Amino acid sequence: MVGKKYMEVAAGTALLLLGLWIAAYSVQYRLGSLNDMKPGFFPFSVGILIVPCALLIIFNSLGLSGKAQSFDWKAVIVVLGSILIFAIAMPLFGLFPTVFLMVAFFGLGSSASGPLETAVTAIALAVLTCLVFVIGLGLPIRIARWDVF
Amino acid sequence: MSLLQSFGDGLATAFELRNLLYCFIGVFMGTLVGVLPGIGALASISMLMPLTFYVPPDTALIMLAGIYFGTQYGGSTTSILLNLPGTPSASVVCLDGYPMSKQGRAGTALAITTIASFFGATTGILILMLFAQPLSSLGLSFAAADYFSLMVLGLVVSSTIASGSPAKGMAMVLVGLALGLVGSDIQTGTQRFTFGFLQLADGINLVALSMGLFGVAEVIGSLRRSDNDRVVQKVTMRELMPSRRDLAMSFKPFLRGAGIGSFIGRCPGPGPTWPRSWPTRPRRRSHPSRRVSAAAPSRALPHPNPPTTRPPRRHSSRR
Repeated sequence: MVGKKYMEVAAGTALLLLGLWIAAYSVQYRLGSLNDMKPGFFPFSVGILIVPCALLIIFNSLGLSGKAQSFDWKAVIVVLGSILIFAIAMPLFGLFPTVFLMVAFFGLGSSASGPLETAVTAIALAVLTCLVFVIGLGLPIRIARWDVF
Repeated sequence: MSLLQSFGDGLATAFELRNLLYCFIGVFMGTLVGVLPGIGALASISMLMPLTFYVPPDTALIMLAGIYFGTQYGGSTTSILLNLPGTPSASVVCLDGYPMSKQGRAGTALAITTIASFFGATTGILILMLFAQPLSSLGLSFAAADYFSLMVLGLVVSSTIASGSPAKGMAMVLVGLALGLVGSDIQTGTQRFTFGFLQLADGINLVALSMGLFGVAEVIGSLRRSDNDRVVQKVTMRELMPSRRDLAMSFKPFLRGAGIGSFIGRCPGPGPTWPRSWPTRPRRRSHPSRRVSAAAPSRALPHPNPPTTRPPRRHSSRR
């Protein structure tokens, strides 16, 4: 349970830190002058300009009252986990097993569908993506790699 | 009268049965590919290019133009139905199209996008024909300072139109600029904010970014909601017909979008994404529901320039 006020304050603070970090980090690319801008000039200005905006957001949020809002960790973990599976499994196993794994993880994790339904969806989607992207469009992706085993 | 003469010749060529057939194939394939997220107009043209090797040059040009318009249009379909932009320039359609589809008016949104695409493209071509000479000299006279001022204007205006406080809008624009900084510096080639990742040297892909921001957020959000209020759209042919009221409200945005698109398209540099990110309409605070539908068409325009007449880009696609 997080109140709206704290959400706003946290967002503003994160933004403030981001702006300061961008400005500090871009110094290493050298700033130059207005007449002779070096690669760091524009990032530095962007970082500095973020700071007053962030301060305004924090300032504005101080008057807000905290209205509780729930945060659904499970949905976040299931969705981001599927993407992570894709990123890790894709170069290792190829497209077909990856899509199958991803859909299976998502279906079982989100309890949106039963095991049988999930299996059918996973196989169908894996076949479909292979047909469309590898065979139809000829993207340079391996359908499956067996040499890793 | 040489203009009308050549216009007539062009129409005669364009309306040959074979050319119409190839144009249809081009638009069909282009729309199919444009619906897939991550594959833009340029990529699909280069992938479908081999199809045009065996036909005469004029037919091939017509087919390529068809593919281009098809992909630009196809990208808007997933934006409206799923909040996932198929092409970078279609990400703006998400803002108005998806809310309409949530209200159960996906059919209307799709139809208005189609009509607006047709209207914008036709107007763009007519204007190109009539004013190609003066407009391109005006476009070419735009120098760095003019581009910069236009961009600052566009960014500041778009920050005020976002819902919520202006501070948040401004912060949003600045964070967007910061994300755009990732990759090689255009002038010096310095690698900025890449943290040693070679994959970031080309910058952050706009489609990937908007998929993450709009798409992933939408999927997480829809998992949170209970199953019975999940939005499932069934689009029938009947729903595709926009009501008279919708058309009447869309007419002015049609004109606005077509005019802006025809002008910006003349300038070398900005692609279809940039002008569409502009707020092109006055804010209507009092009618939030009308705002959504009235706004859709002006953002739904494809670039009025067919690829064959586009001047080459001077800058990288990042801006």
